Amino acid sequence: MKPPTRPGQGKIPEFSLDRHVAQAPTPADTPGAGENRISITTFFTQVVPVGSPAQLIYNADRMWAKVTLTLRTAGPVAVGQLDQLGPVGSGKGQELQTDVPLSFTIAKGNPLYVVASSVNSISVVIEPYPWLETITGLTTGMVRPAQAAVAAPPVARTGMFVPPSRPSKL
Amino acid sequence: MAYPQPNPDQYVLDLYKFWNLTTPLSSPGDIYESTQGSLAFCVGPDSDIANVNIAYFDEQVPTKMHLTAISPARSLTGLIAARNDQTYDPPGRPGRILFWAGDVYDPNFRPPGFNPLRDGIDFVPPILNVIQYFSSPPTLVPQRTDRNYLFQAYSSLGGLAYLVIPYYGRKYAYINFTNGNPTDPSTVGIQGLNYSITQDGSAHPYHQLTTIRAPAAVAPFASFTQIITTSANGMFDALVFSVSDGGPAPLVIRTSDTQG
Repeated sequence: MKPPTRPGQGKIPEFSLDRHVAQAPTPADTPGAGENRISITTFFTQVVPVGSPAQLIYNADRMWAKVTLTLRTAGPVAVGQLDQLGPVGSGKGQELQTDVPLSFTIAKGNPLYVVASSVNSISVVIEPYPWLETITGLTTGMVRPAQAAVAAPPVARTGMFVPPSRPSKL
Repeated sequence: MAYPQPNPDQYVLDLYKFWNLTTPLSSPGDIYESTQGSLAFCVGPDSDIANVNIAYFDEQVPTKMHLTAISPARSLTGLIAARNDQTYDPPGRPGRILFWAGDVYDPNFRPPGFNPLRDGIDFVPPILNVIQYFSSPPTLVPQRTDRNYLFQAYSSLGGLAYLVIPYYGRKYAYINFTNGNPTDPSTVGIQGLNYSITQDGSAHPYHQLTTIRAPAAVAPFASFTQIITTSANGMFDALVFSVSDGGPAPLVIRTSDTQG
């Protein structure tokens, strides 16, 4: 039985609920809005007791984004993708160096956490990759018909090739 | 001490790159703390205290407290974490970077022969100035600024007026005294003082005094100049002046880290 499709809504196109089929949204056509907007902030860390969840510094709401973190204080501060990141020197994350930018290219759904043993200042720049989203969407657009062709049942072809009839001039 | 002491976290929230602690000492036991990690510690330009002890969290030490010191000739660079999420043993106090004056200061010091019924003593409290950097400073110049004092009058109850000024680690002092009293001479003496941990109430406290200028009369409108250097006189924690006349009598004192 073929899995049903979910109807499109807004800029989200119709997509299959077949979990064996890769999904990607249509490339955004409204640059400057929503998840394509750049984010420039300063993040202040808190002292997180050992064993407590780390602080969330990037919630992974962008499709593709380059996240650049620059520690403005002495630290030590560690960042990583685990919420149980502490203590700072546990090796579960990567240490930030003072005044040295550290960048990550992150796909949607991969949040970044930060852990510190003191109050620290971190410059945060989140730059979305609209073109990478476009490539993803275009690639998906090209792959889908091929997948559909492969999944379609074979059609028996018999008889002679018959060219289409010319329209009558009458 | 300055109470409450300035909060280093507030310096971070205000986006400063350093924390500046400037406070007069009121007792030899004042301890200060920083909740911030450090990339450099140095003695500040306004400091009278020359040696500053620093303690930071270190698991390899039984008490988890590692001690070191800085001075105008030696700063401490490199990352030191404040480790607020840890606790020191045995008191269980949260991890901090602690520091305090490595030089002794005793406001209860009294010169031998001091008569509380007739003599008076005034202290210039030493300033502790420490700068903690949150990022690597391009240069560190921990040499202290020259200190300039000017006194005009001296308080006593009919006896001697003593004046104690900080001189920790200084290498040079220029002193000029002029007796402005038109009729009476003033007897002026200068001593170098090295404090000691001692019981001030005992008959023989262990503070060490070195005579630099034996008490001698200065005639009306006369003056004298005294130069103190480490090579000629030694090194002292403080200079003690004794003056017999209340003034007016300008006393100019300049102290420096550099020996001219």
